[in-house]
Order: sequence, then structure tokens, then C-alpha cells
Amino acid sequence: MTQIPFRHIMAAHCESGTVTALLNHHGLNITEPMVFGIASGIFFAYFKTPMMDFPMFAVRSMPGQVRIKFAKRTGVKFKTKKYRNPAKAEKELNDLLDHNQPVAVQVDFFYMNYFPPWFRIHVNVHFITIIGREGNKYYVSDSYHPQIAEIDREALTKSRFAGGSMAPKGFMFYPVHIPDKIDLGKAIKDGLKGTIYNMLKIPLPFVGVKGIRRFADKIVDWPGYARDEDMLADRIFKITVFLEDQGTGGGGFRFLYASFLQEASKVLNNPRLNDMSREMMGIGDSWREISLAAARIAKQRDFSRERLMEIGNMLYGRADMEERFFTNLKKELINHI
Amino acid sequence: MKEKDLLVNCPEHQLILYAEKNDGTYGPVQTGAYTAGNHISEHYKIVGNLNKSLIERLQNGEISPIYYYMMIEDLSVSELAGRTRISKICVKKHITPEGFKKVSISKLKRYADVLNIPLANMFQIIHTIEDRNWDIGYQEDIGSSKSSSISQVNTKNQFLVETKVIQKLK
Repeated sequence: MTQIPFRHIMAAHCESGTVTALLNHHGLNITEPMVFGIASGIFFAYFKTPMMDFPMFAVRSMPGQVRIKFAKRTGVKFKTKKYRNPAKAEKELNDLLDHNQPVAVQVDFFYMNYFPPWFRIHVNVHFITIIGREGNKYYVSDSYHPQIAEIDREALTKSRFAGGSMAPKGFMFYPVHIPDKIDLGKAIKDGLKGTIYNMLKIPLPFVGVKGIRRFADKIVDWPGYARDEDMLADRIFKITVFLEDQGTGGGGFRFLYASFLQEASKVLNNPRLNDMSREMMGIGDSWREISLAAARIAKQRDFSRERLMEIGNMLYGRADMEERFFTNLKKELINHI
Repeated sequence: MKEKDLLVNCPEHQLILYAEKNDGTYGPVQTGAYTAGNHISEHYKIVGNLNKSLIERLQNGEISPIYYYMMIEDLSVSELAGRTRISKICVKKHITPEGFKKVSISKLKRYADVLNIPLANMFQIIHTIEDRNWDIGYQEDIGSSKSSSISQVNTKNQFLVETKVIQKLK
């Protein structure tokens, strides 16, 4: 067989992009920001556990949650499956493709050899859609790639069965039921409520707005975790990469969330949400300032406490902005939505 | 952010950002990646320095080849342990030169598979050169007319050789 006719579009983020493309393929007209917003994809967390050599932060919800929450809030049903046996996983994938069913799979990004080598890192939570096969190769719709790509069978299998943290275990999914009528208004409200909870209410000191403040507190400690100046420069550059270039839509997902709020204001006929989308766009701009400052510090290799505190102080500012924003969003949700 | 303020020229790494369009609506914009477009040379410098210092330590027998490849692929001990299904305690031993001597071939093969290298590369460093008159692994029959040959030399590390291209004098 060859390719299933599939409209390939690039997306900001791999999971929301994959879910959106699959739903579009099955006839549901929905955008990536709407999928992301309904699923409460925006988030913040700062981690440093004894298992980790270096601290890390996240600007989105746990991998898999976009699909799970979107399904729960809209009534869409996905068939999901994990495997122990790679041969069985491959056979079932092939069967589905042979029946013209595009299938999303979870992979280790490192093996996506259609990207340049410097871009490929080991991360087990990348999502792609397989849209066909021919001989020893598979056709891939990857949200981060401008065109339909090809991957050989061996690389695909290796990527689906890489071990380590959040191992994919051959995980795959595809939609099996889309309701005739989705109550988009209710789904949006649930999405807003979930986001407000994630950013303001989770009683853990390293998530949401509290997580941003923890990051601000701890960034001055980063030199202590680095084995040398090169490593520290690399990790500080990664602040920029994580906020801008690694599938966030820019400004650490804040631009994508602003787009969601703009769309939501139309669906709910609430102009105040449109104003709030502008405010979120501004918050995204201020996260981008952090990205640029981090890149500058990494390039200049000035890792003094004062320079790192510059980023820390900017982070405190973003924490205050987001605390105000989500508190106001909560009031808006209670009073007018 | 306005669309025009986000645009970066980097055809090798394209991505989607969301921005304000001219009509005031927000939507996707395809552009080049900021870091790749502006700071890729820094990345190469960092990786190059890391590689150079690790090769030196490997040649001197200060680190094990497993440690070398683990660092090059940016994996932690926990991550390597999870991927190879070898206990973290064992991995910690195997990344030392002394521990490397005791790794079984079957375990070494598991490391090699996860680190995406042939098993033989656990015992050699390969230096390559750019030479239009010489093609690695191809056209063996015309090798004698070419200007280079391959040599393997011992290093201070008893388990490691250097495989390199020797250019013949003309």
C-alpha cells in the first residue's frame, strides 16, 4: 500500500497537533489552540529530584493529558493500546494502516531521523501520526516537520520501544467516536476551570504559579549542578529552547493559549475573554524576554549570581502576572461565563 | 507578539509559532527556530568541547567507552539504566574504566544497542577525514589507487584502539 490521503499540517506542539490532525481527518473541524485550551494544556512545573542530574522545568501538562482531558470534556473517544511485544505492535499498526486508519504513536524523538542531528534528543514523549507504509518504510505526519516524512521500520520500532523514563511501550491511539454535536461552550468552561486549578490551586510548591517562583528562587543554584561552564551554558540555552523552539508555539505556550482565549471569546460570545487573550499575549511576550535574556547570558558566559538573578527577577515578575491573570480568569468564569 | 517580530531565517529548522496577524487575530506562523537560527554555532562549540575532552579522557583510560557515549547522547545514569534494563548500581560501575573490564559481552551489546553504535565501537575511536579520493566502505577494488589507507594504533587504554585514515605521501 502507499499513503492514506491525510492533510498534513505543521503544529506548535506534537500532542495537540497530532490530536487535531486526527480529528480533522475524521471530519471534526477544530483548531490546535482549541484542543490545547479545552485540555488545559498550559502549565508550569519546576523539578529537581535525587534521580536528576540537573533541574528541569515544564510549561505544559503531563504528556498524554491533552488527549485524555480533551476526550473527557468533549465526548470524543480514542482507542488506545500499549504493547510488550514489538512484533505484535507492528502487525496491528500495519493492519490499521491497511484499513486506511491513520494511527498516532508515541516515540523517542531521537530516532526521527528526518530531522537534523543537532535537533534530535532522547525524549520519549513525542507523538507522530503514521499515515501509510511501503516496503520497509513508513510515512509520517509529524507536527514539527514541514512535509510528510519517511522513517524506516527499524528506526520506528526502536523509537516505539525505547526504554527509560516515560517509555512509549508501543503506545498508539486513534479516534473511534466523535459525537454528532459537541457542546463546545461547556468543554471550554471545563478547560478554563482545569487550567485555573493547575496554575493556582494544586497544593504542591513546585507547580503552577508557585512553580514559577520556585524556579526564580533556585536558578542561582544552577552553577552548583553543572560539571563545567559548557554544561551550564548548554542548560541555560535550554531555557530558550524549552520556551521557544521545542514545540510550544512561542513564549512557553502562552501565545497558543492566547489564541485559544480569542477563539473561546467568540464561541462564548464574551468580549472580556478577548481582552484577556490580549493580556495573555502580553504575558507570552514577557516570557519571550526571558528566553532572549537566557540566550544572551549563555552566549556571554557570565554566570555570576547577579546575572542569574536577572532571570530570577524576571521569573518573579511572570509569576505575579500569571497569578493576577488566572485569578481574574477565575472571577470571570464564576461571574460571566 | 506580532507576526513580523517572530520571523527567523532558519530553513533547516522550521516550526510553528502563534502570533498576532495584521488583522488582529491570532494564528499560526511558520518560521525558523530562534535558537537554531541565532545560536547554532554555540551549540556546536559546546558539543565539540565536550567531545574533545571526553576523547582525551577515554584515550588515557580515565573513563569507560560507555560513559563516553552516554555523555554524547546526553543520557543520565538513571536513563541509561532504564533503557538498557541494567541496574543503576551496575551502570554506575560500568561507566568507570575498572568496571568496564568486567562487563559481559551480552550486556555490552545491550549498551551498544541503546547507544546506537556497533559493538566494535566500544573498543575503537574512529577518526575520519574529508577526502574526495577515498570513500569509507565503498569501492574497495580501486582502493590501491587512492591516496589514503586505514591504520589502527593502540592507546594508553588497553581496551581501545584508534582507527584512523593515514594519507599517503604523494
